[in-house]
Amino acid sequence: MVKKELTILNSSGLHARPAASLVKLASRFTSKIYLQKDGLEVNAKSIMGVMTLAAEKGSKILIIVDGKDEEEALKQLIKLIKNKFCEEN
Amino acid sequence: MINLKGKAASPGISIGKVYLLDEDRIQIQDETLTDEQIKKEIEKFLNAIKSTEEDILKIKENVEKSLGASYGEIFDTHLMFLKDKVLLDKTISEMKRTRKNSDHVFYRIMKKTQESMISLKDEYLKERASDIRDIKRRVIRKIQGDERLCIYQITEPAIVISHELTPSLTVNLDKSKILGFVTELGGRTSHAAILARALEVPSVVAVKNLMKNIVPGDTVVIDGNSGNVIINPDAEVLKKYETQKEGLYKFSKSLEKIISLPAVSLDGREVELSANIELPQEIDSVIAYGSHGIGLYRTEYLYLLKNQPPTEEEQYNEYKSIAKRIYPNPVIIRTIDLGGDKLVKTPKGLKEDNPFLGWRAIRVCFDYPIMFKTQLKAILKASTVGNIAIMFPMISGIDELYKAKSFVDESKEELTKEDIKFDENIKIGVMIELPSAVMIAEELAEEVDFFSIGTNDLIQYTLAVDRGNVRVSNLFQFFHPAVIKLIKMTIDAGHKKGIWVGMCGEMAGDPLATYLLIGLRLDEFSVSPLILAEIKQIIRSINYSDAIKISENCLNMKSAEGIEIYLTKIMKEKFPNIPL
Repeated sequence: MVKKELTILNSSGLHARPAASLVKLASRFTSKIYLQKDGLEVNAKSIMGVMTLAAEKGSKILIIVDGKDEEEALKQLIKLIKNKFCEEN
Repeated sequence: MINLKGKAASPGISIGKVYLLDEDRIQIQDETLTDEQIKKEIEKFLNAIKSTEEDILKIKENVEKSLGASYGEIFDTHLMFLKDKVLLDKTISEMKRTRKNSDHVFYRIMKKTQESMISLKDEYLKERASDIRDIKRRVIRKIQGDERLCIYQITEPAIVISHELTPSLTVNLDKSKILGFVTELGGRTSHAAILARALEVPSVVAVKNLMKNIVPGDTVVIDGNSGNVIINPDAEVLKKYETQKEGLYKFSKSLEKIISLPAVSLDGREVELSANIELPQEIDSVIAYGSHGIGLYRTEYLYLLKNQPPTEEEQYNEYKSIAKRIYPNPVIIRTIDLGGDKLVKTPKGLKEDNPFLGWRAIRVCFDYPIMFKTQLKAILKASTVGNIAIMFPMISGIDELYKAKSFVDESKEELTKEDIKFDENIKIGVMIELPSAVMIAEELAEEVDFFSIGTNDLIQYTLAVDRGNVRVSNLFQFFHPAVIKLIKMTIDAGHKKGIWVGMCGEMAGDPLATYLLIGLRLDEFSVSPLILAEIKQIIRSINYSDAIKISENCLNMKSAEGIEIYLTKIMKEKFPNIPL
């Protein structure tokens, strides 16, 4: 199991489109992927889950990945969040 | 007979039978199934999901066709929810575990999600709860084999009544049969209001206690001018409204013949009569009512409709298609005029005590240069059509104007570098809506090609009155001597510096003000398309020389009330048929 805490950088936070791209990416991996924020844990492969996290810009989320492809999954997710979901230039 | 009151959202009077778009309660049985039944039940559930998905895709297509591509995106969230694999897996495993019927299990899971969304602080996410509810209802209807929710059909002309009107509810309605809209929730910019204005039917929104007082079969009268809604009116009231409706109809018929004629007074003073628009769909009525052009194109809807700012390409396409349809007449595009909170997520603790004195319009644009430049570049790209002008809102001083103009110059430079063509001589104007702008109007006029007076804000800032506050709204007066003087100063300053001066605020569309404004030598009136012909009729029936005298008399009067009485008397004598 690997973990990493990250700050959401894009201005709209985990709204529809960023949430969708996160779910899409997470769903490519076989590992179990969870996001934690303020004690709430959601499945990163569920759009509804990710949206109920209400992660806005500046909030910290913990990514927890558990499974065969955990290293690669975490790497890719970090990249997506750090790149602000490619929504801003 | 029950009298209710709401907010007038689209003008006119409508009388008709009720068509209730009700959220009829979902009935769910609690059953325990056998292994064999569960297998079939899972299949049924998955088919329901698939079929709902197909429905929504169809709706999305319809919406895109009838209202424009940007509207369709509303349904992308619905589709994403339906594809949520975790949700599907959870429903199926719960069904296997509890042996309960699928609608029972799905309902409970969705309700929980809905509740957790509603409890969120984020406004955008909170609103997604209604998407979840919509999906929940659609899927359950499918499971239960009841198609009611998916195909709302109006068979005869009726007034549509609903708690809240969502795009997915209205999309399948036969628009030719809608006589009006009334909703319990909503405001002037809600979906029902916008759709009503686009369809040119009356609408009243924010009507308290509407749903509990109305049943199918009722007759209602809606007055989209006063905001009155009368359920099952008695014979006397019905007759009163029928007469009023007939009068309005005759009057609007009488206007048809002047649609293609210019707005010119009997003694030859011609002004430009243009339209204010909010949505591209309004273009049809702009053309139908004989507008000279578009004096105010509000671009805010592009930003409000979606979760994130529109791209340069999206904006370019909108601006260009509108400019092309109006060509060769002018289209004045106003840059974003919204409170900062509507455009970007504001960090907590930045709540403004006085939003109208705060972070809005051009001020926000300066803080978000990329967003501002994206819009300016889109406007510039579209300007090759040849009839587009740019207008900046809420300019309070000359430095702001310099800054706004430097953004235009930078955008031009960037486009030149990218080898993209634009109208080199694009006209730039400012809205005059702050008293400070009036005081320095001559200096501003040296920097721009035109002025357009925004009366709503100008009055609010001059008289310190929030029109939405019922305790003080009576102080919001078009004919306050200070307001009239400010308008005169603006027009005179513009003319002295050789630029034209228009008005795009609500006052331009008030028949009571026409004499006064013509007399003050206003060059352009930009009004709602629905009122355009009426204002034109007035202008075509009066003498400029009389208007000058009347405006001089008004300038000599001291009381707002006195001026209003004076103008009302003149109008009543000259135009007994015009509703004031």
